[in-house]
Amino acid sequence: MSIKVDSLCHVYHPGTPLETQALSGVDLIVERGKWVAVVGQTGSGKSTLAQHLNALLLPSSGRVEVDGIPTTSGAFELREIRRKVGLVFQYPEHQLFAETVREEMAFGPRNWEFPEEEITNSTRKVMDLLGLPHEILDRSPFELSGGQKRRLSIASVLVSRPDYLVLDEPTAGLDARGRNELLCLLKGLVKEGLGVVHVTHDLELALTMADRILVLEKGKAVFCGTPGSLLEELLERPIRGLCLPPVLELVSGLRSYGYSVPYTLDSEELANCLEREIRP
Amino acid sequence: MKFLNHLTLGQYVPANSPVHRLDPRCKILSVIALLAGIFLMEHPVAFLAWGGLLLLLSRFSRISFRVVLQGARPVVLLVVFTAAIHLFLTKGTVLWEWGILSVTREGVTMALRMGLRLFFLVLFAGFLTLTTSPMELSDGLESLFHPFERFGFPAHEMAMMMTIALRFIPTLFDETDRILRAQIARGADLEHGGLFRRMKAFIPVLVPLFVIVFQRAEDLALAMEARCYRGGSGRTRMNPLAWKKTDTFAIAAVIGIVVFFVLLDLRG
Ligand SMILES: Nc1ncnc2c1ncn2[C@@H]1O[C@H](COP(=O)(O)OP(=O)(O)OP(=O)(O)O)[C@@H](O)[C@H]1O
Ligand SMILES: [Mg+2]
Repeated sequence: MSIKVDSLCHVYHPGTPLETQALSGVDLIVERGKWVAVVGQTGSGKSTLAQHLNALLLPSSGRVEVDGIPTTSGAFELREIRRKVGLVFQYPEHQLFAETVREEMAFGPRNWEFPEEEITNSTRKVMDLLGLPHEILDRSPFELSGGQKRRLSIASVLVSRPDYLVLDEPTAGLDARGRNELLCLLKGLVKEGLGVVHVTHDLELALTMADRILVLEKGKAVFCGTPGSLLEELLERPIRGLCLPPVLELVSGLRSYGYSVPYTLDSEELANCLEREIRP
Repeated sequence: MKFLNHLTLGQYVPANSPVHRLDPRCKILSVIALLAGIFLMEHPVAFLAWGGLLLLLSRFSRISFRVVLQGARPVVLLVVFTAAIHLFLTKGTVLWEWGILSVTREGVTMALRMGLRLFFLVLFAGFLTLTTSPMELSDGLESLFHPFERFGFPAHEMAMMMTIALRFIPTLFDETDRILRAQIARGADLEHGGLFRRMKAFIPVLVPLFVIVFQRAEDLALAMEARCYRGGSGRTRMNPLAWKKTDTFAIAAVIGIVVFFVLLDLRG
């Protein structure tokens, strides 16, 4: 049970003056209960890849399979794929439309013909999960704060109980607290067996949260592996399109001056080690 | 998967060609002359000459003929429809009959004439937007309408409105496309069911679109105010339009060709 991406290529507007090769030969496997981060510079093809995972875009060549069903199947399978793979776009709050939060939450499950009773139940459950108070159920989604809107739009995807969740820059425009809350919550869902694909350009975030990291550069996968091995690689040679997070920059600087501090992203830990090093 | 096609009627294709370099006023007036000429065409054969002119224009403006034709794709249906109406509804010598449908000799000529006219109108008008950036276009229109400001015609405001509208069409296209995808990802089904169901299915797309449009309008108004925009009077330009000798020559040539074609056509 996994999403398999196999030498995926994507060309936008083939045969026109606007032809763009957005992905060339990308491989990736996303398993349930795993957190996969996709990092890369702007324009590297992250969003394009994300849309392939739930068949909003179809491969120009190569294959994408969700639990064994290729995304090029018929309309019936396509609906199933889209339910299994929830996709949260960048700035998902721009898709809110309903009169009440309740209606907004019910939009997805109704499209997939969930029974009403089940919709009510899972709406409450998902809202609790995302820390949205039940009082807002009858309010207009447009009256919520920015952070609440973001959480509501993620909730409105989760309420259809997807097996995989693809998030395109979910933390963009959130404050540090909102960001951490969201990440914690996702971590919890991953523990419960959700497969998460987290598209971000924040390498530090990817290194701390993900089980696997895919690095894209101009549509090509330049690295795919665990955060540990990515760190090792990064310290040996620069990877195109990535630069070290500031903390690691500091660590490698310190090490070159002869301090034996560990490669860590945790600034607190680094400070402690450094203190021990300096004090005789 | 394609939800909205981006290459649509009248998109600017930047290039450095003699046609691109012409003054927008010259191009607007030339297109008016050309369109008037096409309206006066009678003989289907004369359209061959217009087709030749089209090829020539595409050479001069360094835009491949395929792109020019692509621009007319959205109106193909309209052209076919117009031609069909004329084909079946013109009275005259009957050539062929089937039930209540009948095709007449006059109908065939009429259908050919109207269809080709419409098609050529779109193709020639397309050249204007293919070779002139929206900015130039609205500058040109503003300058052409300037004399009417004396009679209270809001030339500057019209041009500004047009610039803004043109500037935001692609943006709105992108936004619509994005919202469409987001709702499809949430299981929205926009392709099945009857007319009413399908119209209802578009509400989740239209509401966010309106929200974004109003948001953008407000942002833009604020940005314009912050830059002290206060209407047209006394504004100077960064790139003032300059009528050159080539423009005079070009427009003279176009008018000459049109008059020549029309005279030829009238003679039979
Ligand atoms: N609808 C489209 N039409 C044409 N080209 C596109 C389209 N969407 C993306 N592209 C092009 O495909 C390439 C990859 O775009 P994509 O949006 O996947 O990048 P990204 O990694 O998500 O960037 P960002 O971090 O800015 O979101 C870019 O060169 C972009 O210009
Ligand atoms: Mg993106």
